[in-house]
Amino acid sequence: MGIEPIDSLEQILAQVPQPNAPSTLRESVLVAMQRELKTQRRLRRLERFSLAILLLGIALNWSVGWHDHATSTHQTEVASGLDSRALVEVAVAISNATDAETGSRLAKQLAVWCSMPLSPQDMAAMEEEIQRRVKEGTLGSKEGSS
Amino acid sequence: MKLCSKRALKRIAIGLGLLIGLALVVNGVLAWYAQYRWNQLVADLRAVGEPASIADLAPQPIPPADNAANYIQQLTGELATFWKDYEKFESTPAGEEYDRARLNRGFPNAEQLAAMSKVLDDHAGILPVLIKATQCREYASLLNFQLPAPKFLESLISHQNIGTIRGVFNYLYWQAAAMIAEGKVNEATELAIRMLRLATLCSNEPTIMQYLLSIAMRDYAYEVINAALRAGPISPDLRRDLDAVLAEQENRTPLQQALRSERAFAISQLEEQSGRIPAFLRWSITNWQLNMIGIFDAALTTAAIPPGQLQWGWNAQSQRPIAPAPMTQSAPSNPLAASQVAVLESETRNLMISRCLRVLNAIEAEHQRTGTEINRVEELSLPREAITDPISQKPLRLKKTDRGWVIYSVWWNGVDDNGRFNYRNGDWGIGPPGYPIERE
Repeated sequence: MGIEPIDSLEQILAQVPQPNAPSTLRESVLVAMQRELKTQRRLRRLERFSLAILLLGIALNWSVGWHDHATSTHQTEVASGLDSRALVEVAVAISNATDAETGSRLAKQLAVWCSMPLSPQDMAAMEEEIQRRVKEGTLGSKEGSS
Repeated sequence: MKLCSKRALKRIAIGLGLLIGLALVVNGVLAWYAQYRWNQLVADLRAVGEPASIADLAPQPIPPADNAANYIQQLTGELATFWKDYEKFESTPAGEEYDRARLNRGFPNAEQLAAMSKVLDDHAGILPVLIKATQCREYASLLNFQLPAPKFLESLISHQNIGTIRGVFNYLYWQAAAMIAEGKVNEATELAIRMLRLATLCSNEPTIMQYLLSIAMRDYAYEVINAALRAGPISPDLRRDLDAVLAEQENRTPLQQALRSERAFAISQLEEQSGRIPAFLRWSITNWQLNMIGIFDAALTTAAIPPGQLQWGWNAQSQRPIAPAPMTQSAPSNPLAASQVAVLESETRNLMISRCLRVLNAIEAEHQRTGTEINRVEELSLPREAITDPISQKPLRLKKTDRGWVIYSVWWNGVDDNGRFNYRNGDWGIGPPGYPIERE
């Protein structure tokens, strides 16, 4: 919009018979016109360029998403059927090969990975249970072995 | 004035469009590059035959008769009942007393033995099946490797899986303890050899969690071997078999396999978790994931180094060992790196205990053969690595007590505390029944 009228105005001005305006005024009008036309062309180029960049950006992001969708192995989240008893059991078994700290850290990690809905209270209770059972060494812990 | 403001608006709109476009291009390039690197990582692993997903971990099928996992699975129900009876015994005064005795490497007294024998008799059908399992040379996991990562993990850590394995080794341990208490030292040693082979085979289950479980189960066998060797002379053939099965613990392949399987599991896990975020916004997470997987390279390189070349350090302030290079470079605060260091520590402890038992076996054999005692561990006709402390890389230490030999490592702090056993800041190794252990 606005480009064609200016182009035609340029042609009309070229056809107009030379008026009796002072040459200094004529020159300044022509310079202003030239500047205006240049600015318009620059804006037009910039407009096209930004449109192209925008389209390229959208295309790039879309193609990444499309490719990901086509090759996706992602699964929807599934609620865990595990209870904290299983985690405690794993943690105690691991503590026997390592230490209580490692066992309990692993149990917390597993709870997150399995999307187990454990509250901070559940976590604390679980840790307490792990500490108690490992200290007791009821399951052939390293303290009990060799 | 109106024209001027319209033009200004147009310029602002073009500028904004340009900025958004450039941001989208940069984001698209970063997203594409991160995804390319991730896909390349997976492709590179597969190109060299390494597993890169849970599905890739599925073992080659083997005939059920040759698969130890198959026999263990058959016993799931029976072992669950045994487990309940086991826990019932543990809650009795005799059971509690036995637990306390066991902490000091004690074995059951007559009353405890009678109660344990009753439980074992009630579940006598387990032993023949377990003997078949221990005779197998192969172990192919029976897990479903097509499950999504959280479900797969659930099946790995379910009571059915972990509880069954622990049930197996508690059952075998009780059998062996009863044999020792009855003076059947050869039979107990033979059973312990089978237990150690089976526990090592169980490390074929995927992930480092299962590997740590396998190491914990080897401890049951070590406990029996330590007690049997001290309880009385065993036959020379059994001594040879025992030395051979203990020497198998030098093999680093199971550790490397465990780390590889953990990496494959982590790839599936990370892919599934990050999949909830739109791909074009995921690049920063993908880059983080690439760093995570990179930690496995350090762990695998460390695991491939012969134990004799690993240089462990000691942090006196935190009283924790410092992992050998290149594992040292991984951030210790990173949970994945920390769990891998824990595996390396456990592996080193396992190796050290197996070497201590080889030394004890050789000392007892020498005594049985010549009637003399040795003064230095170097006098034994064992390979050099078998008498070397895998932490200090110096010969294992010997200490003679009234009740028998103490064979130990100077342990993580690198200082010989004259056989003062303290897991955090002392020595560690094997000792006779009742040898004191400092609790933390």
